[in-house]
Amino acid sequence: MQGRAAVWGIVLVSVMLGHAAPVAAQVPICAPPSPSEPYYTACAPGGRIAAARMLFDLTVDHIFKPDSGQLLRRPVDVLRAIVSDETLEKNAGLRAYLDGLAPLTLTKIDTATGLAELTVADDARRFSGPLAVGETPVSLTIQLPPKISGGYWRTPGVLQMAFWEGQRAKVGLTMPDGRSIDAEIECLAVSTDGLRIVTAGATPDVIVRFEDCP
Amino acid sequence: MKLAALLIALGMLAACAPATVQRCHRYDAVSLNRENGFAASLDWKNGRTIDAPPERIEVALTALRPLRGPIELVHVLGDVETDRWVLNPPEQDNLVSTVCWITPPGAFPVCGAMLRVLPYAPGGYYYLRANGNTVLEAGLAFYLCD
Repeated sequence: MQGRAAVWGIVLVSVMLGHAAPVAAQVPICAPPSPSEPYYTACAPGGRIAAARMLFDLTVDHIFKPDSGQLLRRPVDVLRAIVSDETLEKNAGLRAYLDGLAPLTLTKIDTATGLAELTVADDARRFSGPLAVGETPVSLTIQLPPKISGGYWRTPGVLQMAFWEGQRAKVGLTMPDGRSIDAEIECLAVSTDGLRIVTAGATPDVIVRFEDCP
Repeated sequence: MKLAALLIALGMLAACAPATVQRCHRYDAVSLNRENGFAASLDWKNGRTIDAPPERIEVALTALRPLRGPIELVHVLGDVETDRWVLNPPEQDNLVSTVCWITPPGAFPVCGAMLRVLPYAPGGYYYLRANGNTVLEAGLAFYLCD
């Protein structure tokens, strides 16, 4: 039964991403980066340590608790692990919103793969407010479906998480100069090199580097 | 998890320039674990190779400590073994997970293994030799630049 679930998980992920993947759960699920395409980029030198900690904790839970069934990750806890206390203080509204979200549930399929799901309460499906990061305040909107779900692929060095169509988060940012970014999140890849966000549609993907920062 | 990561990433874009082409990328490749017998083929179609630092191979290992000796990663092209890297994960942190870097000359090779023949094309067949260690998994990734 577990093997059948693994096959279905990989087939679904492959179909969702629109590219062929072997039915052997040992290959990444996010589309690979495209060197010829433009990316939004940012740099977070301190992110390497936080990413290493997150990947290590996931490895320990995933590998050494094989029969525990489901793993839980609270979105706000991850935020706390990555951003400074000062940034959290400046974003009390967002923090309260994230505090109210249910945990993300990870269900292991095999050593490398699993399914991810987050049930969203009706009153938590939309957030609108300021986002203060650094010196530039921006306007943030979040739209969530009733259920966010997808599959993940992991190694000790990376976590990739892909989301089914129609069950993805949508995020909008409006800058003070009027620029705006609207993104539907198709896939995430977190490693100690950085964070890569694959967006659906025409919005350029996003890379946040943890090293080689200018 | 994904939401937090997303917000951080997008938030940091606020002061950033418009989207641009990036010189270097990380390509996650395969997981070697008990389900595939710690062996897998990598179909590498984009033609990119490792030529110089900061390009590298990343081998992320989960293994029980203490280690009994080095762990080997073997690269095979066709029927020919082309590379055999002897990995000595640092013992000082005693963590179950270690990230090794196999680098070209001129960079620090975490775990002590280097690329001797350049350019290096990632495609081919890879397998792990535990050499008496209890290795639970390994992940291969390639960091490549134009």
